[in-house]
Amino acid sequence: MSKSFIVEKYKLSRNPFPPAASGIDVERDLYIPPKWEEKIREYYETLRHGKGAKAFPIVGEYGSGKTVLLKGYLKNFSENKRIKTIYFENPGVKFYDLANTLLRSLGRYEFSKALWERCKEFLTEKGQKLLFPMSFVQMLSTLRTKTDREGKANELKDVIKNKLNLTDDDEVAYKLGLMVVETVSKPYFSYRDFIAGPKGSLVAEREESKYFKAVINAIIKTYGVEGVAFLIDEFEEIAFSKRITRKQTYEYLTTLRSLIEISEKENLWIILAMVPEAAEETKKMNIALWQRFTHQEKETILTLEPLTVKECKELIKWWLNRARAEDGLKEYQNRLFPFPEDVEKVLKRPEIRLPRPLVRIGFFTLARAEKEKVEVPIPMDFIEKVINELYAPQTNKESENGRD
Amino acid sequence: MKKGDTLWMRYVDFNNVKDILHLVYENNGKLRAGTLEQLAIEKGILVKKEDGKPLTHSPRYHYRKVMEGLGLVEVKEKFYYLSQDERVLKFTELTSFKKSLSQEAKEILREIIVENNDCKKYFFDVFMIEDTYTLEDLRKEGEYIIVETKSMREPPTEKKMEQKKNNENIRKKKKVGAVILKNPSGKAIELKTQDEIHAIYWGVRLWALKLEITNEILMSFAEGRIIYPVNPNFSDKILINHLLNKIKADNSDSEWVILHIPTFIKEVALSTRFLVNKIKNFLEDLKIKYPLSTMLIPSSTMFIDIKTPFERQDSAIYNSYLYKPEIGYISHLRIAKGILKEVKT
Repeated sequence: MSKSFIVEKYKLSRNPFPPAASGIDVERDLYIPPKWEEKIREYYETLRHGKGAKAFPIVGEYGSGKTVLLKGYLKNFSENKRIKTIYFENPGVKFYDLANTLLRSLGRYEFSKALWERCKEFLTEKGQKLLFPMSFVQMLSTLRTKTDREGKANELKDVIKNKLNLTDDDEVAYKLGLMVVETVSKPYFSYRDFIAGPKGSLVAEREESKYFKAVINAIIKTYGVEGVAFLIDEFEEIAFSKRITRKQTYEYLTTLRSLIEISEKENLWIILAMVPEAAEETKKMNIALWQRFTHQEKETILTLEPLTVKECKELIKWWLNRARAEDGLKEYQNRLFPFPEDVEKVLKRPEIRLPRPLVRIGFFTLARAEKEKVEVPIPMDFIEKVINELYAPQTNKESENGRD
Repeated sequence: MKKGDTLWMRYVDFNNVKDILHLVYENNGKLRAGTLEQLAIEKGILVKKEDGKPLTHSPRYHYRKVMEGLGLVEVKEKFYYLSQDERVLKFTELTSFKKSLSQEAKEILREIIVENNDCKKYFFDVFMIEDTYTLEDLRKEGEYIIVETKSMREPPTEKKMEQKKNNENIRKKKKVGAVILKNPSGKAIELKTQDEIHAIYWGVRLWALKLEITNEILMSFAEGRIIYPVNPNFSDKILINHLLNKIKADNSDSEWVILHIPTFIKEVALSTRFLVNKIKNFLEDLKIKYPLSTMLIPSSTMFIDIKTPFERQDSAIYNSYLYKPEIGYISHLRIAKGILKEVKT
């Protein structure tokens, strides 16, 4: 059987670039420019020993690679440092939105079970000793009445507070105990569990921060990690998704402040990805808070800028390699082929030297070249035409239209 | 003006004023209020743009009163005459019926407005230290002013929320809607009544804005609207120097400098007094002239909306951003430091 044009001519098993670059599956390694990695390592080393918040923003425009950096790099980076990562996308402006997302992502059953396992060694076993230690399910099955559950919640409270030292607050400890024992009747979290005040809520009224701290400590102890990292993507998107009220602005700042405060005291890392205008506005709304977040003169802000020519080429090669794993194509790995070696000549405009535009350009150039059976190397003017169709250069039409 | 009288200034379109003035000129001393209005309706001047229907009594009345107040016409025994003021005669010569106002004609109107006693007392005086001044003086020596509204005097959101949360000191809303025009030097004009607000805030202020005597910046609700006298002698070179100094002042190791466009516009507008639109054109042209060293960074409109709780203020806030139909609102301009070598000042 004859080989397809793309294999035969371009030495690719398929078009490796995803058509919609914004929807890339980033739960895997992706190309990250070395300078970004360097900055992250530098911030990690500086902040982990410091007294301030273990937090920094990643600021970049749409398509600059923020999500890729959070999901594709920081997740692995943190987990290699024994830091459990929790990824939040559009978490919401209120504090309990975060608590809700956090615990739902862990799962009530899993979290309660892990917490109980941790408490178990300190709980006094009543009655006859069992040959095999009691499992979580068995323990839950013993809690038939409300009195049983309240009794067990109180026992857990003491362990949570005095043995595990997850919190120094009785009510917060009791609420965590309650979360464990009520798993039998409520295996899933519901939104109302996190709204402080209402009957049956898990969060003690006016103790949202303490509750949150206790949960962070619980995660650290139950999952056997050294810290927790919140990777928060588009924090502002939901906060500002429609006309924001002054109350919502307040809630946004309060949530940010609470996170920063917890991060200063506990081993909680906060990495927020935001667009430049969100950073600008947050800074203006509360300059002191922004300085705590970016550590004043240390200026821990990772700004994602246009890639250099070398980085652009590396990114293109990285994607081309995805379609060169098969025998016969391997020898073409780490080559720009079928793109010309001097492809940088058409990548001069900074707005296209961002990861998302580059991936789009890669996809459409290859797709069109394959369709039109363009010979290799793909001519520069062909690539330029695709680029200009996707990202039209600014013209001076407006200038000619009567500006004085 | 006698104390207790209502103010005569209201928002009017000066193209219509000019056309009515031409009707008076052509029928000098022959028209009374009713017949002048009727003729202006027949000629399609005092009509609504949307449907061509005649304007109601109030706006028709205000057009006449504005013309009288500015001294464009004189009323003798209820008949309308063209003013004999030289400037008005020249204005009539320089303009034509149903043709738009030339720059020269606009300049005459500007002078008339700035030198009008009521306009001075209630609006232009607050920009100036001296009480006697001309349009030129206003342009050269006028300070910027800030408009303070009722909502801005309420406690900051965070404080207010804390108070509510603690259930303490819940402040009752004061029903005072005064608009205060404040000069940073301390001088202020307080517009207390609805009449003053209509006449000055929605009247003279908008005349000055439309005729480019003043220009406005609204960066955020908290900061308030800034009004400044316009310097008409625009210069690209001054802006380039301003920009280059900004780039030189950046000490980071990055090869790029990022500029928040509304902040840049505000800084430049307050120091040079150039029109916001001219500064915006300059920034847009920069992208065209130096495509490899500049980059426009779009913002979602939600970030613009958050700056004020009032939807009606949004359009003024949007004005501090660049707008490109194919991209949307632009909040930042990224400039390569290498532009320093490219630009010839």
